[in-house]
Amino acid sequence: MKAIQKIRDEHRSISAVLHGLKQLARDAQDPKVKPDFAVFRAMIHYIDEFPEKLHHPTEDNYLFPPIANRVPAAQKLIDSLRAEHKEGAKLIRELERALVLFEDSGAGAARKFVEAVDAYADFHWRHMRKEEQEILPLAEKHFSAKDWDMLNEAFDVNRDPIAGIREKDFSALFTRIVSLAPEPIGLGSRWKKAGA
Amino acid sequence: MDALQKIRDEHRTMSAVLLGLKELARDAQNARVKPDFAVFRAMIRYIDEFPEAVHHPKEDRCLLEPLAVRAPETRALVESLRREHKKGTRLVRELERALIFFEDGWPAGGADFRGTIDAYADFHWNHMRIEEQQVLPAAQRHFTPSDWEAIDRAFAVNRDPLAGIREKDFRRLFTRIVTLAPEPVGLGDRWS
Repeated sequence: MKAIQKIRDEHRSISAVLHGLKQLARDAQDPKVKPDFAVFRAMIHYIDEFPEKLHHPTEDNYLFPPIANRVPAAQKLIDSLRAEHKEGAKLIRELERALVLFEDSGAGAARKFVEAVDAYADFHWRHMRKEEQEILPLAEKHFSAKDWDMLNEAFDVNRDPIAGIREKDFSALFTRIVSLAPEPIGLGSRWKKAGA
Repeated sequence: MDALQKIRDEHRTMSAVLLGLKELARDAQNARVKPDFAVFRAMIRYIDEFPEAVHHPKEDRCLLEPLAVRAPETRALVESLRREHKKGTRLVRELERALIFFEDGWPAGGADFRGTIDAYADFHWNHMRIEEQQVLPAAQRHFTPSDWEAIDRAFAVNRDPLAGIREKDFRRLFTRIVTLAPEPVGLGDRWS
């Protein structure tokens, strides 16, 4: 069952980055503030690649199929979560677009950026909540010993030899986010205000 | 028929930006020279917003739609070009993603960035070529005077009220690209 803890931990990391991103996108609405776009890039890089390359494939391949086999009534829920994995990838492209346009065109595009951030964060929180409240309890109830072995192993290998991405690359990225982000989100310096 | 010249001119401008983007993406493969990412952002913003906000909506409404009515045999061609307008939107999002990853991970991500740019440029050149070689001549053969009036009016108005974006904003953006881009693409300083 240590995989369940791992899934919850990964949700917490993604959540922390989303929370910081929302806060900083709000701070960046002040036209006198000059945001450090490197923080936004690092955060969005994280919430794009980590779920897509590591977290979702493990869920799709090792968490959902045994539940679908053992609990046919959960099929609809699983289909909707799989569809959300795809929908999330689309939403994050919109976020990436909004960031590029914001950085290039300045204050005029700040609102669209914060809207794209909020839309993505709300979407992803709802998604993770559904997984934690509806899927993980089903796994705990219905998984066989072999299901657990496979899920644990999938989270251990960490993980994706094809994508060539290792979990420690993401820990390094997470650390970089914390050092770049201004307080109270991270340990970086506060953003400068014009005339301050 | 002024509109057809306008469409060709707009294709030339996009082409120039794509060509510059390809060239600079190639230069950016040198891991010892940090590229000026502001140029890439300005170029990508141009090829994102100009076609989506200004060029494609006018083509869809005033070129492709009437052509399919006047010359039903062009319907399959028209449908495929409309689909490409949507596909182009998706491909530009991939470009924006690759740019963020490249700038965040520099010098990693350079090959992906360049691959995405080359794919987009090829796609878009092919798209514009089909429009110029097949659609514009067909319009010349089949358009009625009222079709011409409508398309000329659409391309003369330098503002898309829906998008709230004016053409002169894009001229300014184009000028900024030329100022930022290093020679021989533009007038900016070489990357060092």
